Amino acid sequence: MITRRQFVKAAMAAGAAAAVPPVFGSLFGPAGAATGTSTTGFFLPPARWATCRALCARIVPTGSDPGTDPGASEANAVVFIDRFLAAFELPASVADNPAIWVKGPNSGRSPYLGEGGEPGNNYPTDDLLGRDGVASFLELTPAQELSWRYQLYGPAGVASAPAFAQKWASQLGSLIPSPSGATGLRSAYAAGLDAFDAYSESLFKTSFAGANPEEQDLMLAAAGNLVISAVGGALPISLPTPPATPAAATALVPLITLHTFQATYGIPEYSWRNQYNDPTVIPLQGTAQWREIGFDGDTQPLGNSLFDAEMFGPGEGPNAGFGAEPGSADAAAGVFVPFGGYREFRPVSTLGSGGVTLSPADAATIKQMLETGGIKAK
Amino acid sequence: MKTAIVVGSGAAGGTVARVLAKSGAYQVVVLEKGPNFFQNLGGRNSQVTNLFANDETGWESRTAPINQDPLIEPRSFRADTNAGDRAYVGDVNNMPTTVGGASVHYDAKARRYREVDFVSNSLMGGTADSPAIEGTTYADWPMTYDQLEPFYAVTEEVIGVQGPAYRSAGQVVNPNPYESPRSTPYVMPPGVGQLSSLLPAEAAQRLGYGAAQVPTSVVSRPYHDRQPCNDCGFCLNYGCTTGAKSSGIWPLNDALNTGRVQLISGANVVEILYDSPSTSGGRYVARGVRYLDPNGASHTVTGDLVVLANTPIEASRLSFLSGIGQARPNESNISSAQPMATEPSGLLGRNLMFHYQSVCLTIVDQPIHNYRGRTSTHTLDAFAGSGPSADQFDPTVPMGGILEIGGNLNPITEAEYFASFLTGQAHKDLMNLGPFVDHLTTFTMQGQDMPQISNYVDLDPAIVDVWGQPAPRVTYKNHPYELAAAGYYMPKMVEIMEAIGGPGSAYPTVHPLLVLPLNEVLPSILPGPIGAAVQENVLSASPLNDIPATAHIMGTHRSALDAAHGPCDPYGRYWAFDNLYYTGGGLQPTAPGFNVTLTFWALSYWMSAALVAGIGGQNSYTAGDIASNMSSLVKVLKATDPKTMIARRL
Repeated sequence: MITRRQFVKAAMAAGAAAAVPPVFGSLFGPAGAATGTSTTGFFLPPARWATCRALCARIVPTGSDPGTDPGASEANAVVFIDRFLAAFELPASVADNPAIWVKGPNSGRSPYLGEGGEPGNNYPTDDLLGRDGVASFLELTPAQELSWRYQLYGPAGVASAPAFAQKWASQLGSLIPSPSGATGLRSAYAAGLDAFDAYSESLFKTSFAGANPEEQDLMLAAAGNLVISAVGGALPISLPTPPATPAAATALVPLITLHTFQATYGIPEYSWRNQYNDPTVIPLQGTAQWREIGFDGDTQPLGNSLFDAEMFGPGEGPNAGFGAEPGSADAAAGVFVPFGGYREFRPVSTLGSGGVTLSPADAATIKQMLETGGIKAK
Repeated sequence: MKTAIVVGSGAAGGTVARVLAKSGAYQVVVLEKGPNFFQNLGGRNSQVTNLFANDETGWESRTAPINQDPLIEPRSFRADTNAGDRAYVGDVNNMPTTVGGASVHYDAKARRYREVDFVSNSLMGGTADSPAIEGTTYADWPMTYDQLEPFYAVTEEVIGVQGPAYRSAGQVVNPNPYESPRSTPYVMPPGVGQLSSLLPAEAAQRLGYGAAQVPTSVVSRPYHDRQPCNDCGFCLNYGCTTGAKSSGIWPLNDALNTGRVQLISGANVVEILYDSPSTSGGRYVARGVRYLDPNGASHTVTGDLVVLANTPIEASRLSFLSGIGQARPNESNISSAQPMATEPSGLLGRNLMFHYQSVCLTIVDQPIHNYRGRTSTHTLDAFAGSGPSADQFDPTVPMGGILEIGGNLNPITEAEYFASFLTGQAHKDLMNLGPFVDHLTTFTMQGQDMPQISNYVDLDPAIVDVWGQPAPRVTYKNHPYELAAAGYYMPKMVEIMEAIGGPGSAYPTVHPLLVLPLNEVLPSILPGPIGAAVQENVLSASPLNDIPATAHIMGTHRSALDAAHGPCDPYGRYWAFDNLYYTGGGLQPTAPGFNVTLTFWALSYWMSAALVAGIGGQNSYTAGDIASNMSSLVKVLKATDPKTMIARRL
């Protein structure tokens, strides 16, 4: 087993950071500021909570200004993960149904259309997460509940499946592949988080959360085989062969990576955040994470193209020639006569402000990565 | 009053329920396997609300709540019978299973097929028994474009389709030069075009192609008490929170408003109940269905006729579970029909088709916010093959498919893509650039997929779904025709994308990244000497996209003029039955390279009009029979939807 000093020295001596092109220059940047005061959750006890939060913070790190350069910590990714893993065990003061799919339609971050085809002043309430902190989720069908219990708890989740599902349950994990490992996501997280801690203890004599960001990045990269194999293969850098990583840590990396992305770039209610309780979630502007990447987030009920009933009358402008001719026998008989038109609240058909224009170097880098790695198209 | 049982509440089932119920001659029980996320159904359209959300985590990154979860409803797959019982288990073109059907999730491209698409086989010199394309069962349709045209038109008006064709000086003017004649203009104009569609469309026009705004079943005006679309950016894969998307829910709500329709959600039909023929040479008689409720309890519903309006794969499975058709055909003789008493064509489940999709991904340097809009607002039909009229048909022009132009992609999906290459700050830096969320435009070619008797659905020999019912198994392999057509058109896709940029363009720098067939991880094929690359990488690889994920499912219930050529008659009836019908994309003899839903919507109106008119029921048909039945069908159309342009024109 190498020492912490040997591991870090070996990595740095390989010149990795110096060889990384500008877009990757902050690969080993500072850790983000942690947010939130919780240290435990519904599923994660304090030590695993801390490890989970530290991992999330390296998967989507926070920049020097958390306000403009937020990461997974500001998105409360650990809350997202903890409550997803405890989806079936949340009290009524937290969620009304198992925490799998939020119940729409509106987040309350966009208003209803106003009378004159402009954004109105009337905002719906957040159907997904109320001011009382109770999130609304869709009621699961019995079959959906079996699916999610299996995904979360593994075979134990369907051990008491009703009679109609017994044969199916017996095929899970064998004839029917499991999407969540042999023992379910909860076990994968528990074992994986513990493994990261043990890994860190063996290398750096401290818990994962206690390691510094460079050490955390190296452990995460080694366990995930991400930087080493993918970026290292795509770029003129070489990194040292890491010490063997615990299998449970390796198994956790794709799971926690996906869930951290969901928490960071998805709708904030899954982390029990919204404009009522988080000042960085702003009506018509969305989350800080969306603002950072230039994404609108959810936009209903306003949307982007606003219909104005007064803009064009029947037969006028874009309505000419569609449906029934105004005043015709068809119109008198009840055939539809279109009216109105659109203006674009946010640009849909034209360029607008916001977003980043790619430099030639950016575009070349993107292309190189895709060419090297291939792309999984949906 | 007769009682009709309709299995499935989507575009097909909702249409059948609506036409039958509005006739006054039927009461209808609609059985939907999936849950109901709508509220106030049976009231005014403006009162119908839903529980959907602009939620990427729940609707794209997780299996969406409306989707057929591949864990609880697994399907198996193999490329051919040499692959053993199965090569894969999971999602094999699983479709949404919910009240309103798969049209709840689609991005609503409402395309008609063209005149040539109904008769391509004979135009190429083929016959019903000697298909023009070797190794296929390529065939003409039992009806023509002209015969189906009124049903396309009425569907467009009933559900609310926006599109570019308009009326000028009493004539219909269609900006899309590749489409067949229309009787009527669209009832409402197209909505706002999205930039990621406009740029390649304009480039195509500069190169002499006629790209046009795509007919879309999303309302652009307040329509029948529904709100107009506001381009929220969450269209494909999402339920529409405002109801602007013209999904199957709207004809279903019309049907419920008659007071003669009962909707039962969570009703998983597992058996068609029927009686054997009472006389020698007589027909079977369906008397109802048995379904399982969400808790697994068994229920029976009886009626005068049964209409299967579920997906081609699910309808095949249900038939097999009921002893209709070969649940496990003899694999050593899979290239032949295998008739049985309940299914005399021996072709039920066969000729399964998906489209063969190819994509060209392109990055534009400027941020073009491709996450806004209706996924794609323009299409280019030039690569669908020659036509549109029979006298314009040229068999040497490959029949590919339309190009859907634009596409959008949301940030969790982008983050997942880039996690293959990067992590940590470098990944975040790339997310801030947003190459896929904010700079991407795409072509997706919906390539015509050849019908083959050896591409089929049967029952997996071991795997069951959560209710203990045998899972469907798909055996499917591409035909060289669709691979060659993709290879032929992919370089042209790149050529158009490259034309976006260049001197004088407001978008000077574009980067066609790759062009590849969808659905499978493949080596990228880059611009440059692409012809050779296509030849080498595409045509030599077999099978490509071996687990289809197009969500376009056709065949298995081919409609034909006689029982020798397909399991269903031209009006959807199972030949051996008096009163068992199928409707939907399964009826299609071929898979023209256009989005499928509007056609099977029109076919559903067609078959239910036949039921109301009391036509059909013959042991075989001629083209003359179909023609002479038209007046009866049209009469039903006019009675059902008198306040439409098409009804008043006919």
